[in-house]
Amino acid sequence: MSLDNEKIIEEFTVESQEHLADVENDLLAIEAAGADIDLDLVNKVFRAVHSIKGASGFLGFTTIGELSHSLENILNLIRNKELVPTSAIVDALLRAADALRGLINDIHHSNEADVSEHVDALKKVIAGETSQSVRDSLEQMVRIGEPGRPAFEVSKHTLETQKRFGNHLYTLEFDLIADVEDKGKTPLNLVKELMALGEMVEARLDLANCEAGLDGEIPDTISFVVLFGTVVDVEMLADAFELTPERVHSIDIEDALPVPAEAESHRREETEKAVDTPVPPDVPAAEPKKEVSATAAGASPKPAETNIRVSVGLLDHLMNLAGELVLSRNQLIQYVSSGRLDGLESIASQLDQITSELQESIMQTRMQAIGTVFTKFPRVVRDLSGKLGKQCELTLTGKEVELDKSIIEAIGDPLTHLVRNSIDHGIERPDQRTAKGKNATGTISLKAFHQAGKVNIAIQDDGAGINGDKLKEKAVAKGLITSDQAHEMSERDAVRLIFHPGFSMAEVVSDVSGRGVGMDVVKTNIEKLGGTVDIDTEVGVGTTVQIKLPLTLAIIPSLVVRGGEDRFAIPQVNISELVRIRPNEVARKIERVKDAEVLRLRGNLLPLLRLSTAMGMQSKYLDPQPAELKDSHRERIVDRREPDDAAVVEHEKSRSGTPRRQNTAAGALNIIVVEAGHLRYGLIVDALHDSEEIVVKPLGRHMKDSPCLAGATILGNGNVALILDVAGIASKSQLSAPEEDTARGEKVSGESVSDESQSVLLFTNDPSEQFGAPMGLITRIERIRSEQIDSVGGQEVLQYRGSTLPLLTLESQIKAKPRPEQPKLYVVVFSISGREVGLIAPQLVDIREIPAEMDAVTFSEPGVLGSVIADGKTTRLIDLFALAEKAHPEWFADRQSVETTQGETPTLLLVEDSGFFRSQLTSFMESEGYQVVACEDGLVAWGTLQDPEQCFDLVVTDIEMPNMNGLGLARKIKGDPLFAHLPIVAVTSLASEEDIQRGFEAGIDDYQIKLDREKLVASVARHLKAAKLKAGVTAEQPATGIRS
Amino acid sequence: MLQTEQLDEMLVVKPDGDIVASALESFRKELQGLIEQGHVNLAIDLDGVGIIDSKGLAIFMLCHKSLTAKGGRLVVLTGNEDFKQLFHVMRMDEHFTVAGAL
Amino acid sequence: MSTAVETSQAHAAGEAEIATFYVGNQLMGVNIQQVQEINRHVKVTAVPHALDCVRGVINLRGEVVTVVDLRTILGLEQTEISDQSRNVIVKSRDEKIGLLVDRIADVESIRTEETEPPPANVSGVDGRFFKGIHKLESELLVILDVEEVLSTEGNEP
Repeated sequence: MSLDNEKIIEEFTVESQEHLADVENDLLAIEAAGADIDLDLVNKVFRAVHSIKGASGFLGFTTIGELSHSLENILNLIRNKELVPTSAIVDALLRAADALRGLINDIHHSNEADVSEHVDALKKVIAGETSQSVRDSLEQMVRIGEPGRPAFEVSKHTLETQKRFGNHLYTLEFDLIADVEDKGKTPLNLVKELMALGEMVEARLDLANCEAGLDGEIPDTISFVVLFGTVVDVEMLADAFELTPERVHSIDIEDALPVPAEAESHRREETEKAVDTPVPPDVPAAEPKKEVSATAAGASPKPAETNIRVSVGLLDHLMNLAGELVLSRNQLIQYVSSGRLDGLESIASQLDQITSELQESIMQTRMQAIGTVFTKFPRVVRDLSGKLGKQCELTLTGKEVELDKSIIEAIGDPLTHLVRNSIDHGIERPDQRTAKGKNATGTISLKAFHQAGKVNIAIQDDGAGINGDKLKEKAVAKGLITSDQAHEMSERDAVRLIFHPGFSMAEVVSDVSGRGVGMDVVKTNIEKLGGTVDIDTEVGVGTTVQIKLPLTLAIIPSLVVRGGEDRFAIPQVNISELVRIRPNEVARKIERVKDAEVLRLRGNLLPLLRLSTAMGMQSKYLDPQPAELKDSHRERIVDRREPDDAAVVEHEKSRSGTPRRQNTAAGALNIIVVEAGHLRYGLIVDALHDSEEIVVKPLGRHMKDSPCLAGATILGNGNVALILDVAGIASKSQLSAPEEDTARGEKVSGESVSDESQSVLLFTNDPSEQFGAPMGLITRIERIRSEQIDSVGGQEVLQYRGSTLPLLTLESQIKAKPRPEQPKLYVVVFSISGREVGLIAPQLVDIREIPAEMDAVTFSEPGVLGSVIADGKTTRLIDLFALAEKAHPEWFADRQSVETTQGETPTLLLVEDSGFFRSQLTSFMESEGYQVVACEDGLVAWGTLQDPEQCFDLVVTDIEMPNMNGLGLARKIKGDPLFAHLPIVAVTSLASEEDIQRGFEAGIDDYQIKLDREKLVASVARHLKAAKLKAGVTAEQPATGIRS
Repeated sequence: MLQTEQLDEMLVVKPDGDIVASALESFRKELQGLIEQGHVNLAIDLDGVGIIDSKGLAIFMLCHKSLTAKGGRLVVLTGNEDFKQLFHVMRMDEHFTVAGAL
Repeated sequence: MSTAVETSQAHAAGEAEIATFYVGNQLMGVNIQQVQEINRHVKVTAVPHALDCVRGVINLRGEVVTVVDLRTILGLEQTEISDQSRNVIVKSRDEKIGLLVDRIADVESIRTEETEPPPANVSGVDGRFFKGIHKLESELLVILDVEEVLSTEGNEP
């Protein structure tokens, strides 16, 4: 009875391969556990081997059966704790498992193979290691059999073994004539059949009727009773052998009776046999057979792998989609046959969607975890390390990272080569390592991870590193490059020589990693997959090989969020945590540093970015009633309006009649803490949606270089969601890594005390319009009664303390709504050209530190410097000077003209890192008639000074600047004979006495407030004049040195 | 006719066909004949034998019984693994020797 | 809803089938061999910081396809999307890209020898975007050079 069915064989092959896939790693784990036997693990391996054995019997694969049987025996002893798995034993097991794998991979030839080597090795193991208790149980005999029926005597050990193998025990009573002969079979057939289904623990041929010998009749019944151990159940068994039920008896092993100690010789025989049994006596034929060599663990001897494992969940999903497809199709047929056209569109769109999903899901079935490739590496490392006398420890990370099947298949060999390289050339021998002060055991780590739509695989070792110079020497010696080229070559390129074809590091091509398969082949193969390889190495420290595979079929887990109206996906790998801030906590938890908003998270400051802003969109919140997206007017995170937000409050009112302060969803902040490399920041999103596994799709060529996006995906609802590149967003928004910030030595605290903010008086003219005036220019603020304002010759003035103060009204100078009638008003007094002027400010709001960066475009007009948001309101900053100039141009008519020594327009070098101040100061000075060259930094300024084309007369410089601050610049200037004559005026927001003193010591000639235009201009003029005089003096100095 | 060859005290008998029911009678008769001639130590060489059926198997037992009754023994000679296995499974090798060669 | 445009059999050499459409008042066309399909202009997902001409991306049976605005590329004025607007999905260098047009017209069979080279400027559009000009009965048909239209060189987002 042989089931020679191709399909079944195929299934057996696949199943067995799966069983064996884990066996290797499990055996290694068992070895590692040593005397501390992990029963579950051993049982797992045992069961795997046992199934293979069982099935192989059915199919007639006897050699497989024999080998698995031998393996089983040992595993059995181990799980009974009768054998401690030493390295030697595990070695034998591993080799046998390899051989088994080899047999299964070439199943049709397996019966011809010779596994005696392994079987013997395994037998030796048992013989050498069997413990006393085993010997005892081998001695002890028990009787099996039903009363009245033929009985057997077997050793206790045999019985116990059968039990452990999970076999049922039966007695099968055959009549060799009736059951065999008459059925046209031979006894040999029967024997083979029996062996195929189980084990003949014992057998007895009844020769009672042979007593007469040849003189007697040839018997017409020959009783043959077998004590049979098998996993097959009784019915199937009876069926298989066509035995009537009464001739098949189930034996309950517990019922076996011990036999009194007798028949010594018999016992001894049993003992000897037991060592050999229950191996079925299937001795390989003497004909020359194929040696089944243990397939080198590193090679991937995969037979045509035409099968794949798919999760049941996915299959269910596919089934559902198929169902939906059927429904839609039926609908369509109905519509078409009835001539209906009106509903076609919706059916079509349904079909469209279902088909997309179907396509998607089918593609997903091809995804496999890279763990299937990784799984063989522990063995590779173990064997190769052993062979080369090295000690290596392997760590694997990212086994769950999924790749398309075809990539998985292709990546195995290159990875193997790289790992072998690490062991062969990278990790040094233990003595060499300890001599270097390293741990005797080297570490190799294989890491797989996603990064922005690419799958990265990093192979890192802490070995000897790659010596670029040696590579260069070799390359020159081999004639691959010229010695000139070698000389010119950078270290990085030298290391990359390793990828050059025809290059091999070892003098003798080691049979382990050499053999002409070099790094160039690895590189080519990876590039064929569309990937890149790169090496990072440091001599004596180690080497990392980084493979990047741009797999557009990569599936990554991600979080779907909303920014504005659209959904975006953030790869899970970049997400560190999610933070939700209740509306009433927002003001407290969000702080400002410089002009950025940050979140204090467990003591660290996390820079914040709003997603919608980074994407250049309008932020929207979801108003629950009615459910629609509304523009969020929260310009600043800390917006006093929330939760007083109009829509929210109304909603509350309408429900309860009384306004309630409540933590509505609309008011809370969703912050996703993301990471990319060293960068860590918080991304504020408008809403959180689900976690989803998404398929990464490439963006077309028009968007390939978009820094913020890593790709796109199609969500379950058919819409496209863009995948964010967390690192790209950060760089586009100019978020720098925290290290950079600390390097600048900025004071990071809740208050912003820096150059880039200024003290501003906030006030309103018409209550709906807010304005600001720089405090630095304000002399004082007066409160007056409106009757005190007089009108003289069309001009508003204030009679005040015995003098007349000219007044300015905002609405007459700039676009502003007129001030309301009110009894009391404020007047902001400032000084211009030696005169005092007052600006009418009906309502004062506050004095604030406002960041200097402002919107200088939207509300640009003379008299308005720009606008900022203060208290959620657009606030226009007033240029007091310009206002005064506009209203009273006659005051400025007699401004001194500026001149240089040569009578040309003086050129000023302006050094200021704030864009805003730079433009302000430039415009100040240019309107005074100077020429201005502006630089953003001390270093740049120094470079500009050196430019022979340029000639400067005075330097105006900020103090706090990144690369070279004002003091440094001053020292350099004064220290250089070419430039020492230049006057330096420093502009700053605030300076203490010490600062000023230090400044003077550095060479600063004067300190001025940044926005005090008047004083600054005066200072510049003064110093220019002084310089002119000085130059005049020196110019007149005759060569003989006589002073005039 | 059976081929025979004397080898020390054993008479090697070489049947040249299948030991199956149809050929049994003549085989039996020949064996009986040899025994009557006084050859009580027989070695049956299975080299030329293809199939052994159930009754054929019985012949070996019968022969063994006859020989031992007369103080002799039976040896079965075969290089065929299947046959060896057969005799082993049937536990017949507990009664007489099954060997590759004498 | 998609109307798959069927590619008719190749006629004898010298003839071409042109899928035509209106961009503004100008009739333009693309060789049908390059046209994958024509769809209604349904919801497009905007792509931040993309080139100006990119309207966004759409889901085309599981593929993420870019839709570009022909008007922007050709330097014409922007106009409202109407329900006559269509995406002409073309194949270019292994990528499918959608061209947003105002109105679809017929498929015209033309004889290639009757096609004249384009002038330097057609209705205010740089001639480099066109392969040729063809006189139909009632109007002028301008045949687009798809590669030129879709070229990303020299464009800053």
